[in-house]
Formats: sequence, structure tokens, C-alpha cells
Amino acid sequence: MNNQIKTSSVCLFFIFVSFVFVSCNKYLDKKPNDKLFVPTTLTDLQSLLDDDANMNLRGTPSLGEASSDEFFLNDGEFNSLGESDQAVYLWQNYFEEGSETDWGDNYVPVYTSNLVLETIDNIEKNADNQVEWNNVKGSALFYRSYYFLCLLWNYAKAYDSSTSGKDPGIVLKTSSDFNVKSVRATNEECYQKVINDTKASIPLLPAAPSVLTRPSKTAAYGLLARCYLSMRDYKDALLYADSSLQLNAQLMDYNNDADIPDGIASDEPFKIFNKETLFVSVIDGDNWIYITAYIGSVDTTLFGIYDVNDLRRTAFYKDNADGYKYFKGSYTGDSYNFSGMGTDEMYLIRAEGYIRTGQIQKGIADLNTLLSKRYATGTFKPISTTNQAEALSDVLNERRRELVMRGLRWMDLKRLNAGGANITLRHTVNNTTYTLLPGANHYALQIPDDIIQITGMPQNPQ
Amino acid sequence: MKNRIKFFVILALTAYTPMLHAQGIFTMKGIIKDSATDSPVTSATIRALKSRQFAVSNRDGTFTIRTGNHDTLIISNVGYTTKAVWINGEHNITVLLSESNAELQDVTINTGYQKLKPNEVNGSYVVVTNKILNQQTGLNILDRLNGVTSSLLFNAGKENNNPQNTTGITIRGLSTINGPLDPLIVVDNFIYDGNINNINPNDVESITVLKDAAAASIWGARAGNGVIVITTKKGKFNQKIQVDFNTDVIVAEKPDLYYNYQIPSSDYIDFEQLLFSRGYYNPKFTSTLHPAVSPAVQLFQDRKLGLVSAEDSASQIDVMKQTDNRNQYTKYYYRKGITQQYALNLHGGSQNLAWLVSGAYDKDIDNLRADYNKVNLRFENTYRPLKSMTLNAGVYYTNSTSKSGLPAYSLTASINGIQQVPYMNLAGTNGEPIAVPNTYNQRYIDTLGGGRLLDWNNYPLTNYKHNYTKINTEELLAHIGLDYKIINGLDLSLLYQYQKQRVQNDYVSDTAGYYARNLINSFSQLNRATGVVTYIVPLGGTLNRAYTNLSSYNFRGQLNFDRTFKEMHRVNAMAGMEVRDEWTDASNASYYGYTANPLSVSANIDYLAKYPNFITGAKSSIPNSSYLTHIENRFVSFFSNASYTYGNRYILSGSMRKDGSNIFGANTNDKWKPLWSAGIGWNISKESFYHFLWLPYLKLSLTYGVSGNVDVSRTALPVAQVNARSVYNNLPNASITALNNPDLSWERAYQTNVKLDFGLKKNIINGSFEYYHKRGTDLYAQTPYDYTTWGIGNTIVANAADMKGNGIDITLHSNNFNRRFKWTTDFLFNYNTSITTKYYGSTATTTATFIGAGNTIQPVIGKPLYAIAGYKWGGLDTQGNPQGYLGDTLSENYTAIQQGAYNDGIKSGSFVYIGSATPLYYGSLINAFTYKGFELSVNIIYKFGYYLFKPAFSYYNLALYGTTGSGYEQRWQQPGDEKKTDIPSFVYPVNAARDNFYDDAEINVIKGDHIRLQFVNLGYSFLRNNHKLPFNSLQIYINAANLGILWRANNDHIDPDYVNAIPNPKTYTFGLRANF
Repeated sequence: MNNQIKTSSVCLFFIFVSFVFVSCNKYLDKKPNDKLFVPTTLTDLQSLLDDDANMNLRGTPSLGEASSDEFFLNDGEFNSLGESDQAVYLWQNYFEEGSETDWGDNYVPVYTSNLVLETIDNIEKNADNQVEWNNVKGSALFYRSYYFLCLLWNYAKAYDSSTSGKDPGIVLKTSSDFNVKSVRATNEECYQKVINDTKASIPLLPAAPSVLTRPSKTAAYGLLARCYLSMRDYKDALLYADSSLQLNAQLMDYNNDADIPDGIASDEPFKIFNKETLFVSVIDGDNWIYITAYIGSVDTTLFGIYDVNDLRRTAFYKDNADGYKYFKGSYTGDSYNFSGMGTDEMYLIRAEGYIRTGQIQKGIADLNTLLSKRYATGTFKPISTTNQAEALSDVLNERRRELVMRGLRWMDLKRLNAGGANITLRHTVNNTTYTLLPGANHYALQIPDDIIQITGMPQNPQ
Repeated sequence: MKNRIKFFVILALTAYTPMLHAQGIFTMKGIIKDSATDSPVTSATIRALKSRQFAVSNRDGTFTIRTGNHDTLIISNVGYTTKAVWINGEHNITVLLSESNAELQDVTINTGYQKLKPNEVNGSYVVVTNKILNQQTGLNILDRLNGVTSSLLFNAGKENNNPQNTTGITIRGLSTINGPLDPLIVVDNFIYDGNINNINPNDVESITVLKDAAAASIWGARAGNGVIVITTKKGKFNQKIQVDFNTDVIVAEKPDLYYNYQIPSSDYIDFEQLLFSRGYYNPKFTSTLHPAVSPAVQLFQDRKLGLVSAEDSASQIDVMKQTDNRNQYTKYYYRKGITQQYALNLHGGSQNLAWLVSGAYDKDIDNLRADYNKVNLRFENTYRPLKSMTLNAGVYYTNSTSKSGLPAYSLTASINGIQQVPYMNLAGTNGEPIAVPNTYNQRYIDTLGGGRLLDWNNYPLTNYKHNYTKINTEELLAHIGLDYKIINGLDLSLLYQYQKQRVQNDYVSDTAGYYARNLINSFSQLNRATGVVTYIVPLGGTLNRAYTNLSSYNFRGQLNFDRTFKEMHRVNAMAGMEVRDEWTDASNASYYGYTANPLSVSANIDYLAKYPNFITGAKSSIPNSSYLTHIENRFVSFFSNASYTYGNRYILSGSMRKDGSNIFGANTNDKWKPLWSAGIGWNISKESFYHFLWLPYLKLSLTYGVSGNVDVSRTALPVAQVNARSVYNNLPNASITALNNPDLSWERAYQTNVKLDFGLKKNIINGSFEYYHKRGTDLYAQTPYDYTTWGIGNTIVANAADMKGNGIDITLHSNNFNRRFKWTTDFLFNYNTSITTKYYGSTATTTATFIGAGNTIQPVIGKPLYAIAGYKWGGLDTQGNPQGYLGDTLSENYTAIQQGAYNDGIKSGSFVYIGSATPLYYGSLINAFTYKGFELSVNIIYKFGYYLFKPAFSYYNLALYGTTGSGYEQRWQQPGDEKKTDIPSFVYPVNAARDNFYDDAEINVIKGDHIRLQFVNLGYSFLRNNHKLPFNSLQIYINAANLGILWRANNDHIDPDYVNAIPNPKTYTFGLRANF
């Protein structure tokens, strides 16, 4: 080989190397996994919000449900539980850490909402995309508020307007940056944040969603109704429950309904996305609530307040092997416990609002509308009373009968006791009776220990 | 002879004579002698560099040459190592020439980029030759490094969540805490990401292990854990056709099921009865899930309900108490494992063509009848069309099929896959399979559905025939390369390799398989009025088929420069660039109603609809495991490596490399990582002032280098991943998979290495001493964070950790006898510690995280990465309760003890730190004896300086899992027992905190130190000269491995490598190796 060829081959080599060098940054821009993307577009953001595993099914708090009075354990069941589960059942100090807790699980949809809200500011809203843009922003505001409220019911004391400016609430996380330090806002700030953001979401959301895992105006009104109810602001609760019912007031007839395809006697009789559902969420199945799912039995007092003709006795309950009942009436159509919102809950909030604001007949009418769909055909005798206390007792009992295992009882206990209802909970195990007194510190449940250690936030006293 | 790395060099010895002529040219005299025999060396050539004179030594080894006062003589002869001698006015010199050992010349350090001679390198490496690799047998090439490779530790029993810790091998301890832990595996020139079992050990010529940063840094960012370079056999030019044939049979004994403690059945049944009487099992009989219970518990329940008479119950219990199901396992499950290996290799070459063809077939049926078949085919060609050009091309094809066998001991006689029942029979008196409770209560499913459902029983003895995993792997590895000599000393080489590995993984349950029957039954809908069963899951079998296609291509362009200037200055350098793209396409699909013959599946499965479970009524949809993935990693590297040697005495070396990869969500700057190393070497024995005749070889080298590590899954931007559509809203959706951390950067690992190589006269002992120091900074650390932000995970990854490690590697090779009877000894000694020096987070400051640990990395500042601590033991109290300490006081508040330990650390007084959980000292001793054709080698390995937890007794584990450490018989039963035993009393309800405290108490820590007989290898070689046989050589050999422990520090008869597992059974190999 002559030198010329040798020289040119060296040159070619170096030309090749420099060519590759220039192009290799481009070469390295290839995504390592085709399923990955950095969310930037409205479609990206909508797909994050449609991640129902995290946004709807990851679970609303279970600790409150596990601490309330809808089920009981017999001694054998209690003794087979671990130490922490036993402590929760007896309203004693328990030790909890880690993200797989109510605390962690409820901040997952909060994070996604924050990321969406941060990103959407960079997307221009125009005539072509405004429907999608509005839906994304409105949904993110709704989801965040929804889970903030769930967390408040679990981890903060019952709302009391005289102390809410000082009572510690939850962390109002509004950024996806983990370097932002967590602090507990006051109960007042927290409830106002939920109210303001939910109100801001209403003009952005569609009246009815394409699928009930997505938020809607109907659901946002419902969320406000719930929020005001738990604040014992019954006037506003009534107002927003009514707004929600104006958009959707359908009820299933438990005698016969397309959404109960196999009849109420079947296991898990209700279809998911049935006509009563406004928004789907479930109680966290992994943490504490398994106590209710397969081991425990329904509280006998609770089961005792149903009329024999009440179809909910059949729709909601089934016999355990030991003769007690277990709950099977979730609106999810499966073994998850539904904690979302439904028209039945709106009827009950509106009824309570009417009754508490003196419009007793309107409230009774709402109750009768609901109950006529819950009794076996021909057996329903409408309620008729003019006594406010009686009517209130009726509506509160109806809440217990209708909203079983929906994660609402803990909030009801808190607000009712704050209003002087004086309800004491009792559990008897191994011949010892344990009580939870009204207004006990335990009503504001403990924040995971590691979070307290890392952030230095004040723990709820026990 | 052992293929150790050995250096035979000439000792230049100058006999000092007073200078007669201060200046000018004069005639000097000399004599050349063999360094070993002291006999004269004839016909050696002597060249004087300055005076350009030339001479040849005479019969008596003498020579004369005209030279100046200051000159250099180059003395060379066939069979001897060339040596330079400096002349400084001497008139009379004696030169000792060392025989150049043929074996030594064969030793080549193949870094994957360059092939180097040991004396040209400063870095630290081990070369394991073909001969040593052949001393061990088996299908996996990496396993053959065990016990023969300095500084390599096979970690037994260590777990790590890191998916990149697949080999279990560490080289010189750890370099990272949360990064990938595997050494980089290189086959010939390129990184190998396929299944290592595809590489047939018979195709391997040698393995080079690159240990220090200077050696490994040429492989860049992925070399932080060291590099294992596997070099395959090649054809040679100008060689007659050679045929190598190797076959062997490996017989694996049945494993010893009695090695681990198993509670006697009678004790276990008594314990179950105790729990039963306290109501422990009541929830199982009332639950709507109808969970399975053990046969004895079912019997107790039947008795309680009056379904069985007291006599019948007692006699059945008696039978169970007499049953130890390990007998049945040994009889019906386990067999001798047989592995057969055949390998044929043909190679040869003409002047311009070298070629190799090889084929191999392996067949393995293991103890549990799992089946493995593999075929390897290989073609290698090197063609030299021009004197200055070489082309090479090769193809390596592998096809293997494996099928799973019976489930191992303990996995089947278990309820729900959780509770092991020691009396559970697997086969009836005639060997017929017995149903073992699996998920549901046996009594319940027997009557369920009134006989209209499929048989709902699980028969583990035969189920493996119907329910199995079948894996087919095909791999093609093809390469083409060109070497072109541009000018003398400067070569251009271009290399390209393409790899494709296709794995088909079938999880099959045919119609008779338990998985399919269980699924079909679970989804069946029975109309109780009409008795009609509607099958939601179609009748037939199920098949889950996954394909994983791994592909990669590599291209490398490299310029090599190797030239010696004026005999004294040698420059060896290379530079180049490399591109690598590797991608994995995977898919998975489920099929129902599957029959294999004729092949058919059901179409139109509705995966969205939900159906109630036949037993629980809980609704779920038919499992659908479909997915598609595409993962692609790209790497671009620029690299260079250079060494300069002055007069064979001083070696300066260095390397530089810049690596880039397609990390998603990273800034361009973060995609690139520069790495470098530098080294200096000094051949002391070649200095003119060096006079130690007894130590003719001495070399000192020092290296320092930086390598890195990046985990491509960790990102600065929030990265979302598309999920499968949900069965609820059925919408396209995605979620954030990792919390974005903009501050994340590469890990850095620094390593310093000092090495002293030496060889005694006549090579009686040679070897090396090495000391190294490792430092890792900006290591990834799982850092506890305020998960209020994201809600997922308790930790995030940040560059928050530092670590350091140091160690000593000693290798010694001695020729104890070197006559007709030869005896050589190799001694490997390694010391290594790896200590966390910085770690973010409160848990990193307390050694409490070591309580009960040892098998996972626990970063604690100032302590080894794997370590052990135990609760301080206060003995049993008078009620048999275990006692610990809260401060100085005895306590039985186990929760407080645990919380105190974690919150207050060692100050709590609750626990003591014990020590490392990985061996600090390890190595091996290999003795080889040769007499006539016989060759015997015995390999002993040792591990010292570490601790582990022995399996301790636990009521909690016994109740839940049916397994525990020994101690039930010795448990505290009445006051006074506390003086005789440490085993706590039984309390009900079973207290997990109490049992955990006892299990993790210091009394259950044992020393791991032990010495093990790794293998014995005996061979006999027939040589053509001696036997006039039709082959060049024939060797038959026998190998025995996994022979067990020679000495251990613990008295509990525990093999520290197999604490909760059954030790690998002894294996015996009978083999034959021939060359025609």
C-alpha cells in the first residue's frame, strides 16, 4: 500500500470520529424507554389525571374508618391481629411510619395535582384547547381539595370556628418540589383553601364528566356540601348539596334497577359508575381497613336500626360463618369500599341542612324521596314529623343506614360530638371494655412518626 | 506447572572493576550464564547500542565486545528473556540470563482494548488461564472463578433489591451503596449483556479480571465494580488442524434435607393443638375467604364439631405425629442430578487464514427434574489478504431450552405458600399423589359446587408436569473486524459486533394444571337453580408467553501505536471511539382455553368485565398480563490509553475516557462523564545497583484512577411513564415513576493501588503484595425524605453518601518440589473492608439498623456496609420471658426496647454492635501435585472475620410459617427452667415483638468463620510419546466439588454460606479431554 492511501485512511478515520462526535449528542437524545415522557402538553396532563390507580383508587383514609363504630371484632379475631392493629382498634397509641399510610397515600394525588397546576401555567389557553385546558386545571384543583379534605377529617380536630384559627390542620402542599418544607397550616386556613380551590374549579369543570373517575361540577358542589357539613355550616352545606342535586338527582330503586343487574341479594350487587355516583374514590384497602373487609363483623347496633322491610339489610349485608354480618354493599361493584360521593349522600346533606335550618318538611321530603327507593315495594310508610329534634334524629339515623363503610362515619362522629352529641365509643375485648370519649385527643389521629421527625411539625397529642 | 503470573527477568549484575581507561573505546569481556543452573549460555547475541558493535557468546558463554565507558548491552538468546545491561566503565561482567518461561509468555492480559504483557502494565489484574478454568466443572463460566481468583468474593446469602446484582460477585468489596453492584462482564472486545450461561466454558481461553481503577478505567463509567474480561479461543496462523474434544458427566447427589432444623411433627402438632385451644384458628373457620388450614387443625375442628370420634381423631393424629415429610421429599421428589457436556473444537490455519469451528452440547437434569439443554456453535475466521491487513469475522450461536421441575422442599407442603407443615404427606402408600391444601379450606372445596366444578385440589407431586415454566433462549453474537497496519507500529482497528438474544418464556398450565383449574373454578358462575355452570374463563389450559428480545450493536474505531525508540524508549498507546446501542423489546400475552395439541386458544376474552369469585363473591376481571416495552440505552465513549517505558525499568501510564449515555431527563452536561487514571511502575530488579541474587525479580507500581457510576433511571425532570389502561376508566393514563431531583449527578469512585511483584531465585516463590484504598463520593443514597410531597416511597435517591474501603491482596506461588514429583502451592489472601463515611439521614447514624440484619446493605457512618448488631441479652425471667435492657435496667417492654434502639442508638443500652457480616479475610489455598501423568489439585477456601444470625426459635414464625430455628423442646416450661435454657416460654396471643426481640438478641449471633474444601481434581494424561496412541494428548479427570466444611467457628453445625437454605449437594465429575 502506498503512503497516500495510508494517509487518507487516517484522515478518513479522524473525519469519521469528528462526525460522530458532533452527532453523538443528538444520538444520546434517544429516550431510554419509549413509555417515558416529560409531561408538557394538555394530553400529557390529562393522562396523569386519568391515572385512576393513583387519583381515585389509591385510597382515602382508612384509619378513621378503622377507629369508628361500624364494625366489631370478636376476641379470636382481635387476638390474631398484630400489635398496631390491636392498638388502633382500642384507640390507643399506635406506631405508624412510612409512605404506605393514609398520610402518604393521600398526598399522591396532591402531588400529581400540583405538578399539573405548575405545568399548565406554561400552556397557552386558546380557542382550540380551552375545553381541555379548563378540564385539566379544574380537575387538578378539585382532586387536591378532595384529598386535603379527607386528610383534614383524619388528622385534624373537628372544625370549630372559635378555635380553628389556632388548631393545627394538615400540610397544604401546593408545590411538587420536595425541598419545600412541610408546615401544618391552621384548620381555618385548610378549610378555606379547600373551599376556595373547589369554588375556583366549578366554572372550569363540565356539568357531568365523561367517566365518573373524573371530577365535574356536580362533584365539586358535592365536595363543598361535604366540606361545609363537616364545618357544621349547615346553611352552606344545604346550598351546595342542592346545587349538586340540581345537576343530578337520580336514585337507584333497590327493588329493581339496571345498575343492580343481579339483584340486591347478590354479592357486590352495585355496578361501578351507577346512576347515584358523582365521583369515585375508595377507602385505602392496604392499611387498616382490612379489619372491616374480611375479619370483623358489622356492629350489631348498626344492623339493628334497619326496618325489616329495608332492602339495605339484603343489599348491604351478608352472613358471616359465625352468624354476624359483613358488609358487601360498596358502590364500586367489587371488594373496594366506596368512599366517593353519591346523590344519596347529597339528599342526606340537603335534608339535614333543611332540618337544621328549620325547613323541616323539605328535609323530610328529601328523606322520603330517598327511602322510597330503599324499601320493598308496597312496604314503605313515609316519615311524617314536624318536630325538629325527631326529624334530626331521623336524618342522622338515615345517614348511618345509608352511608355505611364510606369513610364518613369518623367525620360524623367528630362533628356531632363537637356539636354536643356526646357519643362514646366502646369496644370489648377479652372481657375488658375500652372507650373513646367525645372530644378525646384521639379524634385527631397521629401523623406518621417519621414525618414528624423529619419535618419537626407538631404531632397531635394523644 | 501453575499458570501464575510470573516474571522471569534477567538480573544484570555488574562485576565492578576499577576503571583502566577513563575514556574512549575499549574491549570488554563478559560471561553469560543461566540464572537457574549457572551453566554457560552459548550463541547469545550481544549488541552494544552506542558503539554499534555486535558479538556472539562462545561455548563457554564468554564474549568480547568493543564498547565505550557508558553504553548499553542488549543480550538476547532463543529461550531466554532479552536483557539490557548498562555499562559504566566495567571491563569484565557476568550476565545471568533467565530462561524465558513458555508459560509466562502465554500469559496475556486482555483488557478488551489491548493485549498486554504483564511487565508492561502498572494496573492490578488477575489472569485465570484455561488450565485453571478447567479445574472446575459446570455450565457457568463465572462459577469457575470461585476459589482460584484473588480478590474475588462470591457473596453467599446476601440479598439486594438492586436488579443489577445478578452475579453475586464482588471484586475488592463494594464501590457503591445503592448503585449497580455487578462487575462488568466483557466477552472478547465488548460488554456482554446476554445470559452468561450462553457462554460455553469450553470456548473460553482465559479470563482477565481487572481490579484497580487503572486497569478498569478503560471501560469507563460501568467499570466501578471491576471488569471480568472473557477471552474466547481463536485459530492461529500456520498451524496444523487440531481437534479438541471434551466430555464430562457431573453427578449431583441428593441434597441433605436434614441439614436445616425442622420441628418434629409431634411437637408441631402439639403446638397447633395449643393454638387451636386458644382460638387462634377460629377466624380461619369463620372467614368468608375459607382459607386453607393444616390437616391436624382441620381434625381438631372436626373433633370440636363432633364430626369425628375421639378414638379416630387420636389415631389419625398419631399417624401424623409419626410422619416426617422429608422422607417423602427424598423418596419422591429428589433424584441425583446429571449433567452431560460435550464439546468439539477444530482449529487450524495456513499462512493467511486462521480458522476455528466448535460445537457443544450440554444436557442437565437437576435434582428436581428441571431440564436444561443447550447447543453452542461457533465459527471464527481470521484472514490476512495483505501483509498489513487482517480481517476477522465470527459467529457464536447458542440455543438453550429449560423446563422447570418439581418445587423444592418446603414450598409445596405449605398452606397458601406460607405455612410449612412437617407432617404433610405428598404421596400415598402406593406413591399416588395427595392433595395438599393450597388457598382454600380443603373440606370446603370438596363439597363446593356439588361436583359441578373442576377438581379444585392441588397435587404437588404431579402438578409440575402440568404446570411449568419453559424458557427458550437463542443468542447470536456476530462480529467483524479489520486491522490495518498504517505504518510500522501504528495500527488502525475497526470492530463491529451485533448481538441478539431472544428469550421466550412460557408459563404453562395445561388442563390438568392447578393454576388453570383454580382460575377456571374461581371465575365459574353456578346457577344453583338449574345446576348449570357458566365458565367465564374458557375450559382448557392457560399460557402466559413472554418474549424478551435483547439486541445490541457496538462499533469501535481504534488507533494503536506501539514502537520502541532507540531500544530504551517504548511507547504503547491507543485512542479511539466507541458507540454502543442496546435495546430490549419485550412483550407478554395471556392465552386461555389453551391446548398444545392440537394448538388452540380462545379468542375474545373480555378483560374489562368483572365477575364474582366463586368462593368470596369478590369481583375481579380475568387476569391480563399483556404488555409491550421498548427500552433502549445508548453509549458513546472516547478513550485513550498510553504507557511509556524507559529501559524496561520505569513505566509511566495513563488513561482518559469520556462516557456519554442517553439518560432521560438529564441536562446535556450530565450525560457526559470524564474519567481518568495514572500509574507509575518501577522494575527495581533491573536497576544496575540491584544486587539481591536471591530475589531476581522485584517490581513496584502505583496507580490512581477515577471511575464513575450512573443510574439511568434517576432523573432531574419529572418523568412520566405510560401505564396500561385501567379496568375502571379505560382511559390512556400515565404516572410519575420517580420523584424529580434536579440536583442528581454521577457517582465517583477513586482507587489507589500499590503493588509489589517479586520472584525468588529459581522461582521457588513468586507472587505479589497489593494494598489498595477506595473512596466513593457523591454516591447514591436512599435518603429519607418528607414524603408529604409525593406520597410514594419513604426515601428518595440523592448523591448523599460517601464510603471508603481498603484492602490487601496477597498471592503467593511456590514450587515446593520440582523434580519428577512436582508439588506447587498457591496461596491467595484478601482483606477488605468497605465503610460508610457519610450518609444522609437519621437512620445512618445508628447501628440499630444492623439489628437482625446482615444480608442487606445498611449504611451507617463508620461501619461496614454489611454488619450485624443484636439486642443485649438479659436472660429469661422467672416466667420465661426474655429480658432486654432499657439503659441499665432489665426490661420486658420489647416495643420500648426496639424504639429506644432506633431512636437513641447505642446510647439506649438496648443493643450491642457486633461486627461485619461479610468476610474481612478470605482466600484460598491450592495444592497441586504432579507425578508422571497424574495430576492432583486440592482447593481449600476460607472466610474469616464475620458474623451472622443463626435461625432462632420463634413462636411467631412457628405459628405463621411452620418453620423456626431449633429450641421447641428446650423452651421454658416451668419456673426454674430459666437457669437451663434461653428459649422463652409460650405466651398467647403470640407476641411478635417478643419473638423478634429474642430472634435478634446477641445470643443468636454466631461467627461465620470457616474453611471449606471447595474441590478436588484428579487427572491422568496419556501422552503420545509414552503410549503411542492416535492422539496428541488424552486426559481423563475426576472432580469432586461442594465437599463441605473442614472447620467452622460455630458449634451449631451451620454452614455460614447456607444459613436458611439447603447447601448445594456434592457433585462428582468424570471427564475426558483429548487433542488430535
